[in-house]
Amino acid sequence: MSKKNKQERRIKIIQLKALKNKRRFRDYSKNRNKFHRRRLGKKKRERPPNSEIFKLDTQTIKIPATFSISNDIEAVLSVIYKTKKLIEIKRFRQFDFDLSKVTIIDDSAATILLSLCFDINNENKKVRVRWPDDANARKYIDQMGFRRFFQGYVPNRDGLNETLKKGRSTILQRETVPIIHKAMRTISGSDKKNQNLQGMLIELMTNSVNHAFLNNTREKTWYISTRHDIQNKKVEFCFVDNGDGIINTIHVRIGKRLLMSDEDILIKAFNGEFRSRTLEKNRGRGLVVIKKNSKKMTVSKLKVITNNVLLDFETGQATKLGTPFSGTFYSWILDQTCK
Amino acid sequence: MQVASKHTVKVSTDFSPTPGARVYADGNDSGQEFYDNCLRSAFQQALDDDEILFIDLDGTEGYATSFLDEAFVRLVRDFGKKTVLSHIQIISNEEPDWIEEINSYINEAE
Repeated sequence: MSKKNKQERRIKIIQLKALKNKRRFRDYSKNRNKFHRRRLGKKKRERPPNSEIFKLDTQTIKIPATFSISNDIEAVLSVIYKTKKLIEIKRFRQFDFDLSKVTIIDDSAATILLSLCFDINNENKKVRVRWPDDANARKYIDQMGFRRFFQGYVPNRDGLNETLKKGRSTILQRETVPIIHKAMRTISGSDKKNQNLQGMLIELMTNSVNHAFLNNTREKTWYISTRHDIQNKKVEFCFVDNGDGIINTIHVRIGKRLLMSDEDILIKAFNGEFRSRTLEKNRGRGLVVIKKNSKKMTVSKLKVITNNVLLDFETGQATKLGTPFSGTFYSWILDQTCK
Repeated sequence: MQVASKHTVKVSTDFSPTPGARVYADGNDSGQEFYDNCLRSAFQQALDDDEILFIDLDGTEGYATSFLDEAFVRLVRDFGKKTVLSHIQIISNEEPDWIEEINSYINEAE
């Protein structure tokens, strides 16, 4: 027998021995587990079929028939709140949003939902949407351009509505310019700039990027959407971030819970009564500027929803909400009454 | 108002038509960038010639308070409040409120 054959035989013997040991250990573990199960009176747990395992990883979120901030704010916030809680659970890898029952939907609710879909995507989780059965609701969503973000949809856009402009951890003031120019064209018929609105959008983006996310590991995203109503010459704007919300941020920055209602905290924040986290005298004016734009009538019907408060800048009324919204949502209208 | 002075900074043409937010970390065309690349050298030159620096805010798409605040507060920190107030003139015909606003930033700066 040659030297090479001898070596090969030796290797084979070693491999067989290793295999034998492996089998012995497997049988030993099996018997040991069987013994323990018998001792404890337990049955062997059956492994669910693959389809069931897949189901366990998927969460279906049913969207109510009236999914509209202006009609039923609590229903919208409740869906968003529950979904955000589920996103935190690592096990869930896919979210199916079932909009089949939706008959009434508005831009505000759709923008918040879409921003959530993107945030789910950012967490490397899948999103699927079942579109409304109701023709009107489906048409509304189509006009928004909502569906173009999902697989298998060929966009048919009129080129005006900006379903979503999103930013990641940065302020994109150049990207808001065309949005404003388009809006001004709808209102006045000509391409115009709007310095105050541009300033306000930069303040909103700055707040989202620099203050909204207390946890620095999360991606700091913000979203803008617009809907053009050419007949009535008005444009609806929505701005949303899914951060921690203004009130929560103030509590964390101050380091204790303030002895006043959340409504008062929000009103005071927009009056500039809480200083910046850097404690520099010249900082912390962003929220003040946003309020100023409502007073100056740069925009109309400005509203903010953050944590558990809805603040209407036109009436100055702050309303406590039953369901909290973790994040900040602004909506306003740009029309011919605006200066 | 037309300005014909060699010491003029027009933000829209000399810096950017779309000024951004406060510092470099916030993104492009920040107030800090404007100060470092444009305002500081122009002010120094005006100061050397003992002339007034005209800062023209018109022509841009709009400003965030943080942009103006950062640029002018840095100017005060480097050159002093008195010197700044006596050597600059702000032009803002499109949005006259900014003049008062910037003066308040300069006065509040430490």
